Amino acid sequence: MLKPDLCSRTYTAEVLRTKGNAELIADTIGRLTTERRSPEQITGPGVDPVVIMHSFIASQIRFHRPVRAGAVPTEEIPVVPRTKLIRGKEHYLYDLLLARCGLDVMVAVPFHALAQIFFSQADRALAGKRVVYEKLDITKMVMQLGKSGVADVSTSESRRKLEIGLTRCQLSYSDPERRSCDLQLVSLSGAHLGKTDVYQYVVEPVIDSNASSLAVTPVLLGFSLYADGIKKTSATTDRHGNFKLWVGPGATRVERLFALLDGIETIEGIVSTTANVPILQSRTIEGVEEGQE
Amino acid sequence: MHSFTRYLSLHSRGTGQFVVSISEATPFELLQDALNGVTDLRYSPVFPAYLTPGQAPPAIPEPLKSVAFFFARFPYHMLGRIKPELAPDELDQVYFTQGLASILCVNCDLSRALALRELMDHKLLEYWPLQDAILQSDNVVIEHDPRKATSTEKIVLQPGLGPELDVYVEQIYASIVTLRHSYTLFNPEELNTLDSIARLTDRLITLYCEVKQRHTDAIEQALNDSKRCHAVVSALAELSASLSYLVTQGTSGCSPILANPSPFPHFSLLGVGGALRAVRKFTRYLESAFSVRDASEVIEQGYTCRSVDFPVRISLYESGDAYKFSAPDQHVQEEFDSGGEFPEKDDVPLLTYLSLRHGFKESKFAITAATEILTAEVSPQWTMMTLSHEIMHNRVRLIFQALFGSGWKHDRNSVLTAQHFLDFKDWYESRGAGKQYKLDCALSNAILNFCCAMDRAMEIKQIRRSVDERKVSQSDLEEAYGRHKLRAMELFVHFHDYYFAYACQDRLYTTSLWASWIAVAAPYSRLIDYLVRTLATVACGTGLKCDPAFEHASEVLADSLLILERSGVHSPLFDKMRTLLSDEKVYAIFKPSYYLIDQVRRFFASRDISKRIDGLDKDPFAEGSTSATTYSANIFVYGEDDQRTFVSPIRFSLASLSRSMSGQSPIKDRRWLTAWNTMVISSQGANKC
Repeated sequence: MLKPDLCSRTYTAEVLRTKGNAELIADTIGRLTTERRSPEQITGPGVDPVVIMHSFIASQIRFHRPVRAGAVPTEEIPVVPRTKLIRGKEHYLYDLLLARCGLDVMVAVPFHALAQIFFSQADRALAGKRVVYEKLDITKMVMQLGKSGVADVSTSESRRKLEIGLTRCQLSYSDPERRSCDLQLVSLSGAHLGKTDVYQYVVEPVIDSNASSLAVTPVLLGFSLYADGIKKTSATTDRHGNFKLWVGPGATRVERLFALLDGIETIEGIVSTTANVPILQSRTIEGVEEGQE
Repeated sequence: MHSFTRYLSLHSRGTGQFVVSISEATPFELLQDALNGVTDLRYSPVFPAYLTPGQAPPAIPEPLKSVAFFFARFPYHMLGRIKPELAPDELDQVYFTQGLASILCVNCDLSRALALRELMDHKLLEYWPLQDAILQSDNVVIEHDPRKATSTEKIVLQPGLGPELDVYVEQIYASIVTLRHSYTLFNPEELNTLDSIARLTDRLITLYCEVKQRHTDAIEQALNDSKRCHAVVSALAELSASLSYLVTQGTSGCSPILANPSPFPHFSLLGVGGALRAVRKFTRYLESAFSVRDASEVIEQGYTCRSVDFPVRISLYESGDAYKFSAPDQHVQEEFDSGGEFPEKDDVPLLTYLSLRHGFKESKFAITAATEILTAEVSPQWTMMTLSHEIMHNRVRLIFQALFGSGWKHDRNSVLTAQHFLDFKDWYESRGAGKQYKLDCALSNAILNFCCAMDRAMEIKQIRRSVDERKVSQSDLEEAYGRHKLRAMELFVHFHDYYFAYACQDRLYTTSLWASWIAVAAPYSRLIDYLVRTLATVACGTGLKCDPAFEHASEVLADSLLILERSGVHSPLFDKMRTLLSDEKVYAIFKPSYYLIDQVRRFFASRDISKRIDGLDKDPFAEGSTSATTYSANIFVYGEDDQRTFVSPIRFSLASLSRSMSGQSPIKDRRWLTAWNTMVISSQGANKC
């Protein structure tokens, strides 16, 4: 079982899609890291196996604030983050979670600032390997999910009823007529936004552009995957392909993220790809924390 | 501090041999070497396309073995398209330029160049194999794009018009022929513009012939006819000159590059075709947004059917809720947007080119951008946003033509008609008795009222003027209109620019204005005029009474001057302005200006148009906001090919301006950033909004 040191943090992630060999992509990224653990493979009936690898990014830059340590550091309770001397200099070791499933590879790190550096390095290392990044058209997603904020994504192979539901929504407002900003941003979060009147009210101008004189644009969207009504995983994304997720102990949610993306992919026209590194346009999502529930 | 700009240069060694090099030496060093060695030199700046945040620019590939030129029409999107295909070392070998050869890749072999060519939107490729950095002209490989756009419109020439017209007409058609050929390859979306120009030329010739053939003994009529003929000839001369500029600037730098040097000596190798395309796309973007509602039609069809009670007494003017941007009743439709559909029908797109001599300037059929935008667009003084002001002038000219009937179709001798005077007199003498006037008439009255008030404000009197002094005769009115018409037009233009282009971002607008104005002579000689325009524009839409509106605008201006000074832009004008803010003459002129711009706000603001200009629903970098500070485009992000990323040139330029003023640009190389901005804007589709 995977044991990320910083499992209680919100991870910043991106999802890569390759036309070629996903294993090669994961391996290329893995080469930028240290202390690679043995990969774990999770298989299930009717789905592609998910391979998750845990390793560490060595950084001289400190991204964390407090240092957590047991009274006596042991194998089970290490000092977090660990440190390592590399070429005579002390480096902090930060978790890197790398998961692949089919042609998709997901990379996740526990600090946004670390992602800003590492994801650019990874992109450079992957040059020429025909890698693009997945992103979601969140405006279209809000429109397709409608006021209920729910979509049934069960497939013929699903043994359970699978649903996508909204858990976070940030809307930007602009008034092309008055040019004023009486209202600029509305942010909602909750277990199931579609069940609230307020969500239904605020998304109406997105679903029907004639409903308001204001231009309303979703800039962040959080969504969860429910199996028979039980929440299995969740993530938040922006318009550029940046994801925030809580990985939890054992990192099971990383594996489930693929199921979540698969579910979203069943909604037509939502998923697209870009050659741009998403983290380079991540101002909106930067401070987002994902819930642990 | 790193320099990211490189220079691709070419020295002739005679007998078809050229020494090719890429260097990071400044152009002055290149020129000095050429002068010392008494050799010829052709060069152009080239810019590494793929930068990494926080890292130095890629090293110049050594030795130079080949250069492949790609003539992509949408280089921003093509850089995004080829990026996943490029190996790490290839990423460092790709450059973008400001010429028609918009992307180049060095040290790739021919087969690789041909493979990359297949990914480009336009397949023309020119390949220079080099032996010890020497190019043998016979070895140049050119692969053409088999696809060619064509214009379907048939142009029928009108020859034999006599020497007075033939000199211009011949040049116009010759330019159209040259441009048609070039545009089929490099700017197919502009073929329609050439057709429009041909139709316009035809109309002007017909008008000239009609007036010329008319025989009259009446002296006034004969004089008037002569004036109209001169106006037509002048228009043809303007068209002819503008098209010539387009030929020399827009077609040079095409393939074969060795045979097509640019007239711009500092871009002599690859030309400025890409930058010119950017300026044109910027113009077309605004034109297409405005085309949704033809201002002339709105005035002539819509405003003639609606009546309104207009404030007359400027001395008592108080503005109010009706003029506020943030009105209490948010759901009332703007006057300009109501009353049916009025799309533009037969508009002639503005010819757009660069001019060192004219700088940013507008005329009937053309817009010029200062040549400085080729090298310093990223500086507040030379931002492309200044172009929006010039484009607004064109729209305002149409508004004035509609209000005062002085277009090509009108045949009259005086500036104002007798009817204009009578309408104004009746309204002016009613002193705001609540009488309703047709909206078009009320607007022209407001302009004339402004002109009269400006006349009075120029000479402040301590005692109230007598009744006789306040009376206005037709000749007084015409003279006042003649003296202050340009001021009135400027207020219209400022409102349009502030509201539509700058989305009412007051400090950004004011800083942008004054950064560009200190670089030209006029504000030094007519400072009060320029100061008052600024204050009135920022005050408009507040709904405040004159005193607090003036105070508010003064605060905004003071803040903006500080922002400019903090970002390194200084001028003695700034201190002079600060002292003028307490000058009673400034306030006296502010009042009528505020009055007029408020009326413009009330009757020319348009949600339909501003929504199209903002493009928030399509622009992925806007993040749902018109604010320049939240715009997320940056130099590490490329156009997304699948959806042909839509970038609003206005929002993009504003964000760049905002970043350069706040010192937040990720690199400090102004030439690189300038070239990036022009490359991104040049890649926008025509008529996207």
